[in-house]
Amino acid sequence: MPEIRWELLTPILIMTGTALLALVVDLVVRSKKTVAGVACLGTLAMSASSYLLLSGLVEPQNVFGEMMLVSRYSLFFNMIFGASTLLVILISIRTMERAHQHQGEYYMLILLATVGMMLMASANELIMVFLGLELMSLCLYVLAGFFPRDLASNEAGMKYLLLGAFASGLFLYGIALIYGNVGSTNITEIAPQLPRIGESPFFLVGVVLLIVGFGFKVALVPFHQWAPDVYEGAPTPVAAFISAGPKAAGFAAFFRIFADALNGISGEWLMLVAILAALTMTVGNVIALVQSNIKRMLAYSSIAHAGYVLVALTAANGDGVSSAMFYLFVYCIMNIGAFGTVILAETKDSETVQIRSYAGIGFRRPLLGLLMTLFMLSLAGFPPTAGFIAKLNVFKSALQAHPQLAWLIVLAVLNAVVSAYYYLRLVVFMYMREPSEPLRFLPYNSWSLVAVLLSMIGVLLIGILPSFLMEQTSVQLFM
Amino acid sequence: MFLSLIVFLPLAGAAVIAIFARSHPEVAKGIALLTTLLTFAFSLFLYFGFQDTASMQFEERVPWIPSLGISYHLAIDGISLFLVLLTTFFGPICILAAWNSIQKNVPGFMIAFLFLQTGMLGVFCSLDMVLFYVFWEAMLIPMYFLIGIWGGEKRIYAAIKFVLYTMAGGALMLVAILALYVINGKITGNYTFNLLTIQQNMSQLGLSVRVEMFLFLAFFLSFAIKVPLFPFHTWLPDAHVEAPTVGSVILAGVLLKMGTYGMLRFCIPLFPTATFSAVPWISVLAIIGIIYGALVAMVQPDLKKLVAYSSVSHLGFVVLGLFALNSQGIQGGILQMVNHGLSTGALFLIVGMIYERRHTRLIADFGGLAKRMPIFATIFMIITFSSIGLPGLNGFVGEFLVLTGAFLSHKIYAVFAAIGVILAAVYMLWMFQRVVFGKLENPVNATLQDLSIREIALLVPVLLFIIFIGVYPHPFLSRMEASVEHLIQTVHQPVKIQSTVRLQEHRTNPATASLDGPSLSATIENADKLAFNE
Repeated sequence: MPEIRWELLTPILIMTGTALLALVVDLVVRSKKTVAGVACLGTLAMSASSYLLLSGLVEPQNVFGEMMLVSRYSLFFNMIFGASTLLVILISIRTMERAHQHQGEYYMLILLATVGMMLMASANELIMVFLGLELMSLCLYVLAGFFPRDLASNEAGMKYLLLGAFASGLFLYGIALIYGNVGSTNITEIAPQLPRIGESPFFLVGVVLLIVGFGFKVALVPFHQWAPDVYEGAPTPVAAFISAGPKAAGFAAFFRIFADALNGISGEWLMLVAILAALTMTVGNVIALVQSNIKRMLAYSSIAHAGYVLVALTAANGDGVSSAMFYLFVYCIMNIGAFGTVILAETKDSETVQIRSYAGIGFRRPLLGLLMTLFMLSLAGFPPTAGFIAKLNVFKSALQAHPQLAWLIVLAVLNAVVSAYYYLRLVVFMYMREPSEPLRFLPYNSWSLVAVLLSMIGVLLIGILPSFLMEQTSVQLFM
Repeated sequence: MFLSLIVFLPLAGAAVIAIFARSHPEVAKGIALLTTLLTFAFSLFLYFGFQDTASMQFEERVPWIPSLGISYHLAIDGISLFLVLLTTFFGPICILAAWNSIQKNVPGFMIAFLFLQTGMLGVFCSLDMVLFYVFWEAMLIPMYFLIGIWGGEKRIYAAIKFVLYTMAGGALMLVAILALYVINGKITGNYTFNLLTIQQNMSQLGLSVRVEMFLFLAFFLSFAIKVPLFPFHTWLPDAHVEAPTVGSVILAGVLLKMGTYGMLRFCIPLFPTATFSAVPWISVLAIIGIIYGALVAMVQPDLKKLVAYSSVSHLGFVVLGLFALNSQGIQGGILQMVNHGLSTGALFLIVGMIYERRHTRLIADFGGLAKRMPIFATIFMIITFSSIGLPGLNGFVGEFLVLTGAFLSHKIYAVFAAIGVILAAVYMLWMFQRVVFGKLENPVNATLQDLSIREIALLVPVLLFIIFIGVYPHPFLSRMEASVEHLIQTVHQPVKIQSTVRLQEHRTNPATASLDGPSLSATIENADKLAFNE
């Protein structure tokens, strides 16, 4: 019987406990805000315990036999998930109140999906990665289709389920091929065997299938087609959720396997990843240029951001991984902030999703305009926001590791210029155009406002004083 | 702390307005004026406390992101001193100019302007490349709002064009900055973004000619767009025409100088070899800019567009002077940056003043204003002469030095550039004549009021400097002399070593030996030959 070491599992245990508690609380209390409150507290407790473990931990620790590996890496990802889940719960309260149905289940699904993400980030077994992925994805399929009367939401859920299941199949096939060569599904077992199996075609096919599987989950071009439809159709807080945590979780496992276990054969996959990164950034940004729906625009923007993160993978070293962790943290905060601002901009009848409906908001609702502008600038990578430092950090580590990939960096910065066009277009509408019809806004929902203000503080604070966060992301490879 | 105080004082003013005076336009104006006046007053201490040496002064250095080797590092030398002063000098003038002309959302305007001022001051003071980039890009946002919200009819197009052009250049500069960081770190083991450290290490890095050229071009392109050097100038007329008066003043007065300053701070000292081989190309582009800008200015029916194209022409002179790479050229270039700021800034103010009265900027709508507005006509005349470069006014000193510098390095450049001086006289005087002299034919113009006290008050300081620099440029030149000499030495050092062998071959060539004495220009000549030979 291997030692289990419960203390290292506290974050996951807290999160699972909170999910179950939320289910029970939902049965006994009438006010659904209580459920959200429980979920928030649980998420906070999880983040705090992750932070405490992170500051005390030096060496990565095996837990549950060798099923999981608790390391600075996995704990930092827990904090990313904690932050994004917390923000998403806060921006969900208003939307869920409006929907009047299944509110308790909603929070439980969000929390369980977060457990899945945490399992993915701390998995030390390909099987565990798969279990985490499925736990997360199943919750997300339901969440995307959470409004059964809404056709778009139905379509989103269905599309996500079909394509997601397909991707899971490919991923599992990849695992099987790798298992066939390595003789084990343990991630740490792969690296020592690489000299023997690194050239084996079946092994390499398995590796490529893993890339395809992850590619679907984090929406890399050309596996991105589901993303815009799902983001558009899903309830806005769910779209925010899908764009943040799950993407980070996908990358957590992606980096764990590639930058770490498969580092020895980085020559085999580096070029593939570089090309995927180039495609993802470029296609995402170029298609985002012509979107008229803000949720679709944010969907393509989040595709493009996955491309920037992938640039960090081409570094294939500890520095690159650190910069990706930093980037993902920043990205989650600013992206949820942007979605949160969309929720704040709701009118009496509906959500404001058409970009042209934002005309004139800047002066009529100054706070909303300011917040949205800030998130757009951060997404575009303007200093002094966090988005700039994150990009700088990624580009620096990629260039440092592989100067011959300078073309990728040049492409990435030019992409940032392209992206500035559509991010600033929203600002143009908010400040420089007059509304075609009178604006009928609801007063700000205080929970959403809290979430968005928290994101704003994060974006500015990390942008101006990034050192603290940067220290937390420093990791060694072979976590 | 002193430089930080100057750099961030405007931002603090913006914060005060944002918090306390969001719905009180008059209070916001007052706070903005007070802040900019204070900033200017503080910056005067920089001038008087400045020692005439080449060293970096008022230095401040605090680690900012130690894990990446980024520090908060501010300092000024004789080159940046005047650009800082120019920026703070235009602060109160712009606020006064905006006093009545900005009606819509005054507090927002003041916030954007103060934010912009912090950005520009930061650019001129930063010695850390990332910090420089941060200010460089951050400054785009307020300028974008100034043009996009308070601008003319096609303001959105102009604002976006301005941002995208500058960002595109900035993006490549960022790659070059990162590349320098990585190369320097790999070879010396010291991963830092400190400009001075990297500059010192440049000779040990052993950059291949190709890599050095790429890096040079990445920096240069970004600055050339900002200047703007022909053929990257197309954003400028749009931005100028659509921007509100204050936007144009600050754009012409200070923003464009960020480009020429960048060339002086980054391109020339970091990549001397590439600089030398690029001199012919850059000089030719500068001369095309001088002549093309002047020709296009000549046929403009719109006053603002005319002044905008004259900027293209004038900035061509600055670039030509800087890349003459001798002390006359560079000092002239720097002085001409200040001069262009003063005279073109003032021209935009003047255009703004008559636009406020008549709501048109077409030259054809005016004529005979001298009769109705004598004070206006007098001031306009002095500024026009300053822009042309009439002896006794500031423009002459700068242009003369630039042309001398160009003549010393390549006679032919000076010959062509001098055509621009003549053309400048043509388009400026012709414009002045059509607006101010002649018969007062249009009855609407007969009702125009002459300048108010506020308007005179904001033009007089500019006039004072225009005359002062024209008559007695010494206090300005002496402050920058040591820094310029230092720069020239750093540039010629590596090239000298490389070209010693070739120099001996050229000694036999009378064409090089005949040049007037100083070994400096001989070196330049040889370096250029070298570039051609390769």
